[in-house]
Amino acid sequence: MTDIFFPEQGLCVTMRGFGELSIWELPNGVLRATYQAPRVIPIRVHRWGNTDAEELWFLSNEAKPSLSRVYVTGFPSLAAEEGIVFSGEARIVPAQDGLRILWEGWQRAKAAHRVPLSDPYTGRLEGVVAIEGSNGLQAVLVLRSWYRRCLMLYERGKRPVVFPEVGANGVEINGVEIARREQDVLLSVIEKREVRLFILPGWKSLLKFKAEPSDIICAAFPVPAGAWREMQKDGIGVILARSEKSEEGKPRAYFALRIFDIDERTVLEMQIGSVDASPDPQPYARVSPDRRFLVVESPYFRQVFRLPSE
Amino acid sequence: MAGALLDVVFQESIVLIPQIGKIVSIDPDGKDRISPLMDSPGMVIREKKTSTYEALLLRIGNTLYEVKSEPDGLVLLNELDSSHVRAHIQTGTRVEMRFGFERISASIASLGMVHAHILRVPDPSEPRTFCLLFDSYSPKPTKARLLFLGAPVEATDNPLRADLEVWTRTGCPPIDVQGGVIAVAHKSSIWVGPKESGLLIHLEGLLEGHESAEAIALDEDGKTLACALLSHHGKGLRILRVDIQPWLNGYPPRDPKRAVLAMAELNPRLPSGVPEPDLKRDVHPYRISPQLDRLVAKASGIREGRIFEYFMVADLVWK
Repeated sequence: MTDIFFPEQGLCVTMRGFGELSIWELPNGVLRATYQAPRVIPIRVHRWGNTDAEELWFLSNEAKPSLSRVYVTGFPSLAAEEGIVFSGEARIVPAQDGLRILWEGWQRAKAAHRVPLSDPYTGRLEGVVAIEGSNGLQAVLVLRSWYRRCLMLYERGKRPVVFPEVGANGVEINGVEIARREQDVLLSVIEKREVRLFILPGWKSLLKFKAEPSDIICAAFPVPAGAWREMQKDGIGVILARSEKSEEGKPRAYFALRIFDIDERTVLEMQIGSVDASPDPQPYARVSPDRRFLVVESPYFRQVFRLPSE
Repeated sequence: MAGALLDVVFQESIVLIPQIGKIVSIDPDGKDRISPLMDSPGMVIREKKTSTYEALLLRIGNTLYEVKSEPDGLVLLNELDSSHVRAHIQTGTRVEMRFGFERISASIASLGMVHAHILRVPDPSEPRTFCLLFDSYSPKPTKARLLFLGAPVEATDNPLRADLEVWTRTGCPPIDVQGGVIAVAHKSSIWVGPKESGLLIHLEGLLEGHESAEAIALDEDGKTLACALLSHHGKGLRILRVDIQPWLNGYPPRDPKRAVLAMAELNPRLPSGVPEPDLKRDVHPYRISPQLDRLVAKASGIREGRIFEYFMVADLVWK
């Protein structure tokens, strides 16, 4: 399941594996409409200079893959495009068997990377996150799955690498989040009971956070130094869910935001809200790219919470 | 499989009901006539020719037949000439060979046969052909794939415009295309969309929880939809005419019940010698005519301890 936010339209789009696409209104979390869509591979595009919004693209996995961009104003439309165009000459284009990343455009197509729909070593393509830099395409994250998930990093002029120690316990595209720190990209990845923080270029690991047994990690996002009050160093924000029994003995899920830096010093800890249900051990959740909203879904509820602003 | 319903087709005042084993034709007085159909078609093609005439083509083996009704209810199967056949078989082959052919050819190998129900519209806008692929003609909703196909300009162009997984009845599938809009009964509910968008929006809140959409038809402009909803709590049949434009604009009404423009009552024309059905209990709707003035349903009634099952045509009286 993938959640994509369109803050300008005040909408959140949820895609499910069997081709169902739902559009939710922010901030109230009311379902506007449900659509049946083709089964596609979602591509999330983070543009340089617009960190609060993201684009949704579809790669059709037909015999001949094609790319389309999703627009959600009114009746959603899928605009077929020849490729995703980035600053400079960079492009992501459909190829016979998947995608091609043309880091330096068509002129230097030899420097391209291939992202196949299926691969005997890493499994089938599940989702893509493309990150635009100040000059061209900065990095592409590719989620693949077979008997385990793996997250691969593609960078210009380098061989694609599998993120070390990530994936064995299941990564979702929703659990992959980015933030900018000047020219660098901070990346947080949730893996069930752990969150890891990396810095690109390179994928150097900065922090590994393990939840306490009573807590469930719902969502996480990188927080660059200086972004939050007196935060001197980079860190992460984590949304934790905890189940408690009410006075009548009914389960209630409480959601809290905790922000801490790479020295594991807690900068902020506060309650976000609660719902009358048990939290799912692995809830589907995402924090909007502008960090204003949290969407949480389990089989029993779907809720939008407002996050505190600084 | 014998008796499985393939489709319901309106040819002027005659209604044709092709099934595996026979074709029933019903004349305006409700009189039915049965012609044998000795094989199971792999492909059923329904093509709207005029607002009152739908062509029905059946592909049996490698031959394509056009099914035509005479004014007296006689049914004729005309083998189409080879050029016509080739054109249609090419369409069929393309469906199997070109569209996600890895998956489909694999399922052909394992399941033996993939059936197709094809809806073609004369509308010049793209896409023009809608092809439902499934394993067998099922009277209950089952998993199928709905392909939207356009006319490729060059042989290398991909004619596939959309490919949706749907859960729908495959015997006389509840699918309609009119005025640039497609409507499908999917998961017992109704979904519509501008056909070029390749997406279907759920008409949420229109049906009661105990109802399923059994027959749907769009008006010629694709602005309103007639639907026959069957209750599974014994509350009978509701036939509604709904303004679907708010959904097609992407802004569904807050109160979907207010989109209902009219409701219809049934005025059945029964074949002679059959007991009258209980309209609340014993009528299962299959198709509404393109002019939204007739409903074809399977009905049953008991007389002298014997159960009679038959197809009937009923006029829709809108109120």
